[in-house]
Amino acid sequence: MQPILDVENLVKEFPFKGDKKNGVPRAIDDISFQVFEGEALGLVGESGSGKSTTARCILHLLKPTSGKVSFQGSNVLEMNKNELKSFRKDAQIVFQDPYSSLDPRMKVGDIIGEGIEIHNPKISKQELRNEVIEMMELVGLRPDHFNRYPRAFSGGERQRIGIARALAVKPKLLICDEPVASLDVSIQAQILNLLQKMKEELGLTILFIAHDLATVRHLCTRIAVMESGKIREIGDRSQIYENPQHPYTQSLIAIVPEPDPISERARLVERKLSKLKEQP
Amino acid sequence: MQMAKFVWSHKLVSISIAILVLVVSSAIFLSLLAPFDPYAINVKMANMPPGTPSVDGSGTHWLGTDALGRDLLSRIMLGSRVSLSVGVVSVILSGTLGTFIGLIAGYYRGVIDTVMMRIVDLQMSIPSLLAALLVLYVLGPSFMNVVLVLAITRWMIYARVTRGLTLSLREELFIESARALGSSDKRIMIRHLIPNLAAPILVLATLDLAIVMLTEASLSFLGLGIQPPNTSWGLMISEGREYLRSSWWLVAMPGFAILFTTLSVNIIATWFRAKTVKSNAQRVTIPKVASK
Ligand SMILES: Nc1ncnc2c1ncn2[C@@H]1O[C@H](COP(=O)(O)OP(=O)(O)OP(=O)(O)O)[C@@H](O)[C@H]1O
Ligand SMILES: [Mg+2]
Repeated sequence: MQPILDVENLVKEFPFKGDKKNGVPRAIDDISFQVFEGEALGLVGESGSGKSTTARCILHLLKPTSGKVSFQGSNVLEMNKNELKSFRKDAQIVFQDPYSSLDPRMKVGDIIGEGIEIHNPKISKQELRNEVIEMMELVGLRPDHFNRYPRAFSGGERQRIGIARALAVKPKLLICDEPVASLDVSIQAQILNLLQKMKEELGLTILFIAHDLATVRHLCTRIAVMESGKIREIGDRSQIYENPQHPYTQSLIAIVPEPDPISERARLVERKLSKLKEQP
Repeated sequence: MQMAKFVWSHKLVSISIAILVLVVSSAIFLSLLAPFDPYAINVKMANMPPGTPSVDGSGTHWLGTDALGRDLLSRIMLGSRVSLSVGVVSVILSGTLGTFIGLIAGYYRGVIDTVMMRIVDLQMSIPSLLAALLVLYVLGPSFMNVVLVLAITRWMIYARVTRGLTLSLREELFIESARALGSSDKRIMIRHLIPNLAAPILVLATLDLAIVMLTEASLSFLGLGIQPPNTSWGLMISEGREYLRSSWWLVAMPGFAILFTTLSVNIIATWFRAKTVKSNAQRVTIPKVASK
């Protein structure tokens, strides 16, 4: 299968003046991974491990120090202005902070419609409005919210606005940078279900960033574990959960809360069975 | 009902708005509102104190008359035209220029920023009234020259404030979102930066309007601003100075006009600033959730 996104030996350093002796600290330290069409890959790591920086480098919002990012076979980092613009129609991001990622002086309808307008400047006002309302309904926002300003919305609603804005340009790849980290647990579930639905209905490829394994458990079929700028382990969900190789992954597993004791027991049994199978 | 409530809870602001409305409408509807013809000379009625009835008995010179027997109130209304238009036009010019330069400098940073801010620093170190005096002395006084000089000596304030605001705004996540959506630099500036800069720049412009009006008064007072027979408040004070001992109202009345107008402008600007700061403070940011 062709990967839709191919990240090779990506490095990002944030140099700062002085302190040259210890070498420049690397926010991303030589990472490589692939995302395949239609899948949801989870990128999990603690705060400061370089997840957001990875997302920014992939979208060329930040210039990586070295490495290569290919989207559908073409190198993102060498794109000219027009290529970059059409790449940004195909690859979208939902940001970590639903508060500062929405322009406080723009109405919700204009926020969601901005991408449509950028990539199709000739669209009529009515058409634009229809498309925006369609997006709002898709993510579960009321159409009469069209003329409101972001400050009138709760965190969960704002994150829906962010998702609608990203999906409005009909991207192939959606990067979600901890879209639920600042939300209540019940709202988290709603947003995650929404993303699952989008993935199934729109055939969206998702790179889902989270700081714990519990969040990505249902959505993501493959998981990459990141720590201090490096990818420690990458593999299928079952492999990461049942048979974590890296000690850091194991420590992440240990703090996953188990909401359902029955499935917890089932997992224990399964693990024992697989251990039995391994023995001759 | 709602208006009455507003007036009651913002007495000072309401009075200021009323004063400004009065000044602006007397400037615009001069011929309708002026009690006498502001150019009508009557030497017999020279330097009459406030409250003197007019010769033909048709009215009263409520603020007295000037050295040529012209009605002072009507003259002040005529002067408001020049004082206001000089102020407003030069604030619009300097505000637009300064905001544009500050926006470019703050957004692109680098060499453009360094060069532009050096120029700002350089010009900031010259007192603006002194610069205006020098330039007007060379160019000669006229309405247009006064406006241009005032604009050119004041743009740096806008440039500096806009640059500072832009530097912090450009780091905001919503700007990065706009870029991620494929926005061009131009679009980001027009659609995102300018609307977010508008409120603070407007406050600055209002405060600056008061300063510019005072500067115009000083320039006209010194004879380098507006020239007779046209008049401005500063020029009226200058002309009245000769008669200060005998006819205090010639200086006092246009002086009050300057004082109350600039004070009202200041009060409104301060109120507006407090209001916008409050609505910004409502934008609480939830702290990042750190993992264990
Ligand atoms: N613009 C920047 N300048 C300097 N250092 C930066 C910058 N952005 C990120 N870093 C550093 O890079 C490292 C990785 O940051 P990053 O935001 O990618 O972490 P993260 O995994 O997204 O964490 P979180 O879960 O808190 O969002 C951190 O040590 C951070 O301090
Ligand atoms: Mg992050």
